[in-house]
Amino acid sequence: MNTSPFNSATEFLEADGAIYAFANSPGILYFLTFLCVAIMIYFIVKAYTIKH
Amino acid sequence: MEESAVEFLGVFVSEAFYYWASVVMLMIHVGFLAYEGGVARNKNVMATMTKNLLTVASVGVGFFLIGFWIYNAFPLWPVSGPIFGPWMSPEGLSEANAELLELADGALPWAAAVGPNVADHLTPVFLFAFALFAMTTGSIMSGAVIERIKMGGFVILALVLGCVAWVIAAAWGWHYTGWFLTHLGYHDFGCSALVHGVAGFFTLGVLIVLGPRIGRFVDGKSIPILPHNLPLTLIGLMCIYVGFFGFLAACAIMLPGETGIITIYGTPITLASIGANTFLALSAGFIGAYVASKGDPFFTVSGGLAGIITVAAGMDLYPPVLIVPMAFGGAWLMPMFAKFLERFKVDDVVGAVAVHGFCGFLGTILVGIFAAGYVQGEGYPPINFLGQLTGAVIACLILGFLPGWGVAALINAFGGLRVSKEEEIEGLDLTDCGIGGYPEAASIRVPDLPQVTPTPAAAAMPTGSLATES
Repeated sequence: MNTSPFNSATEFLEADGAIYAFANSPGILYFLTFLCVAIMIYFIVKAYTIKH
Repeated sequence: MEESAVEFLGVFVSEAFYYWASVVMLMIHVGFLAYEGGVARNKNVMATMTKNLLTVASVGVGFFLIGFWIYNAFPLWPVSGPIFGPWMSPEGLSEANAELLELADGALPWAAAVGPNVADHLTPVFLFAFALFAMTTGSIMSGAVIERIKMGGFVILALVLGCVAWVIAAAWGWHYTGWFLTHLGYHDFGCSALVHGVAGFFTLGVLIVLGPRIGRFVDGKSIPILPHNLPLTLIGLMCIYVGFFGFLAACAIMLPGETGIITIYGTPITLASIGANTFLALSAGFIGAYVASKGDPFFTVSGGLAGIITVAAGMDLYPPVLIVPMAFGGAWLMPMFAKFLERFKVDDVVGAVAVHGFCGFLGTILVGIFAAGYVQGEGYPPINFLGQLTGAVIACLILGFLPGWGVAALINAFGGLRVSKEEEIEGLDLTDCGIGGYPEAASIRVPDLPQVTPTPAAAAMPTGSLATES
């Protein structure tokens, strides 16, 4: 798997814009955003249900 | 503005940035002081906190004497070059090696560069910042071994860890010429393995030799030992988090004459994204540990650290939407790893091995998956899983676990590691410090009070945070 949006060291080192992983894979970023939302919902549910 | 004034401004920004980042980093040690003091029982509070002060003392001076030189002298050795030292001459060296020799010579305790010197505003402030990193490794170990380690044995272990073991790892993996980078394509921006992994596994080696506290495991059963002040522990960890924002900011390289902020590997970053990713990892880490530990406050607050450490290695390259699930996952696994260690009767009082060792190792190898393919310099291998795994194993096992276990075994062989059974039962405050943490309490203590035992509800709570008073 190659998550880098760059093809070479020069491209990366002289980047002018987004440098983060999956920057050229919006589908993955959408999925990760969905995962963040799912974690938040799970957290809210657990905050109600965790009891001692 | 005159050209010389502009040039000075660049130097001043860099100097001031590292100066204040290092001051913020000192909060890590304020936090460890409170955190570990809170975890200890009444009879060990002052000894625990004094031991923490001695971490700063021993590693601070020790790092100045040898650690700073090791960092600058070892990046090429033993794979791609020699150890640089005062026995060498720049004659005959390549330009790059001559530059490294100059840096190594400039890091010696008697060098002109480390003293007040208007021609060098940066070397002393880098010494300051690095020494704070080094003290952090000692503090990671100190909480795990409290309530039964001899002060002298601890100081020796802190010196080995803080001034030698992690420094070699940093020279190899956190240096712009380090052979981890040039030969493995290694990337560990926030020192997941190089600080946390090394310190966590060093601690594991020490704990195996040191053994558990009296009463911690009885007839093969785990008996939780309560912290004397859990609120103090929680506040301490929050102070540590403040310090960690300074720690991670200081991992950014901001030098005069540069046109942007870079990592130690020369790759571009922004300080803003480091701040954003750190607070996201902190928040998501709390969530992961809260859920996994079913609301245990000790694990929940430690989860923030677990989250940060899990993402630290690649936080300069991760998008925020990746930080959240990754930090959540690392912190979710952390309490489970702590429980796993308990099966082997490892008495890690603060969960240092799980938080720093496990999450540091995990976070480093995850870079090989989630930041795979970045090429950090012409001719270097791209970031890859095998390179990350190799670097993490060398750092955590060869430079962490083995020295921790070996030096602890050596000290133990001379009777210098563990206090006597009588001292341990009496508490270390009186023997180590000559005074308890709460002297007024002594005047109202009734000697023949029955032993305090946990209620059934307390006994059923997760381990690592509960206790009986011995």
